[in-house]
Amino acid sequence: MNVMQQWSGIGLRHPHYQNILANLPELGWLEVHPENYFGRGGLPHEYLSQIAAHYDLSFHGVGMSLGGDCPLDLTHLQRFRELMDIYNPVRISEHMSFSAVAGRHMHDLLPIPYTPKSQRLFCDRVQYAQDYLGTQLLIENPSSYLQFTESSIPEWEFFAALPGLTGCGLLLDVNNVYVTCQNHNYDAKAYLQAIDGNDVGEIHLAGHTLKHFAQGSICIDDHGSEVTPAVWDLFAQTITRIGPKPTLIEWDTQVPELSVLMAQRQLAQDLLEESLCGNPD
Amino acid sequence: MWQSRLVANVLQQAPVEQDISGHISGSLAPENLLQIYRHNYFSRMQEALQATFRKTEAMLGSAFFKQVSHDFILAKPYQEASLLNFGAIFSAYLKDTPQLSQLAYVADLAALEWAMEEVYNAQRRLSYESVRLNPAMKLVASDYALLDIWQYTGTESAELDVCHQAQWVLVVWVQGNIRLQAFDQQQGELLQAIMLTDYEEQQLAFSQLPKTTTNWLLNIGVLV
Repeated sequence: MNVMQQWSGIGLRHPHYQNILANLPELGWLEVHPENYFGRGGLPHEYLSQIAAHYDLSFHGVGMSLGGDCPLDLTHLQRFRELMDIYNPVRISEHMSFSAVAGRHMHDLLPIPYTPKSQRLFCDRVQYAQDYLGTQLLIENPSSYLQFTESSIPEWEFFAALPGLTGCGLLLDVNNVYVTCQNHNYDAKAYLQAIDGNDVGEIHLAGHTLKHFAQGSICIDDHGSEVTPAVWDLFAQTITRIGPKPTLIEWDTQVPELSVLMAQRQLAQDLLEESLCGNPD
Repeated sequence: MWQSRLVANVLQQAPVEQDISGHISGSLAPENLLQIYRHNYFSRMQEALQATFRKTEAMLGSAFFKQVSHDFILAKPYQEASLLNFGAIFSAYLKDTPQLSQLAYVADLAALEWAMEEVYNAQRRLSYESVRLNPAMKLVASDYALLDIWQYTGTESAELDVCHQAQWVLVVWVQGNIRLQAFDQQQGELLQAIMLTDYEEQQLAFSQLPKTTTNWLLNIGVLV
């Protein structure tokens, strides 16, 4: 019997509902996008309530727009809280980005400038959301394709400072670190070194693709393929330094068979166990 | 304010405005950088529509569906973070689309698919003290034989012969599945009238129904 803690999980996506329930694969936990369950009933809730009886859930919000400059959507927060009451997730996370402007939700994670002013605004909103939800949020670092010329704080400093300013934790997306650093010519290892391991509550891993333009190439965070060797290397170095953390294999586009996800999850699990063996703490 | 300007430039195909291009940088020209976000946005929203309106897309063809859905996304900004209600007004938009003025049943087909989406996500409480209307149920009215159109669309059958005959289609959750049932005008209007009454009035109406009618309504899932 495997007595090692199952640190690694996968995203719960509807093509896998029946397979997971029928076979109850060995998983540490499942990531859920709460916005997919904002309806009051139906098959999504029927499946999720059965699955929640077997697995821990981590709620990964994608729609709060914490980096936005229009008022937080209280209806959204209210429904989010109702779902927390129903499913009792073990972790709650959101993004260091904005998604909505007045009158339109973009359903994307758009970048924000990194300035003292934007940091104050972002932290105010994180604190408001935490107070409203009555729990700590983990905030995820973004992947980005553009930067703002007025940014005066390096992204890793902006990100690493959030726990001290708000009491939040960090969701460290290693693939996002890789993508952002590739696109903006940053040093990914230096970025990761700037993060205090004690603040990290969850790690994400995903695939990306390289898109070519006449002027050059850009890394796209599309969550549609296996984790690349470069990201596995960064992950291994990170957990060797900070110790094992709950780690997610994210795959949101062209979702493959469950077995493919489980194989990726096992790779992550093996590395997490190795890091534990090499880290007596 | 800068966020609104950024989003406006993500949405538009025109050259990037100077007041935005001067504020962003990256490894590509500002227009190419914004094009990545533009592609992400429209593809995500169009995929959501495609997932709900499969038959409508099959009826219109992929190219036209892509164009009309792109226009819809621009013209009717969606404001919620959950996509649960995205598509609720797509049928009405199609009805007002000039190119579809001669194909009114396309909007009805979209209305039927939206009703199926709503029923899929509806609450389904199954224990009651007495019979009552199924909460996971929608009724769609059309001037055409809508269920026939729905069944034909996306199949390899011969050319569709659109029957201009009023039909009501019930979309109802029964025993773990969505079931479609056609009604004529009279039956549809009766059922709609019952659905519009409050709980007490419905109970009174059901108590006066012949047992055979009650059993039939139970069989087709209208009553639970």
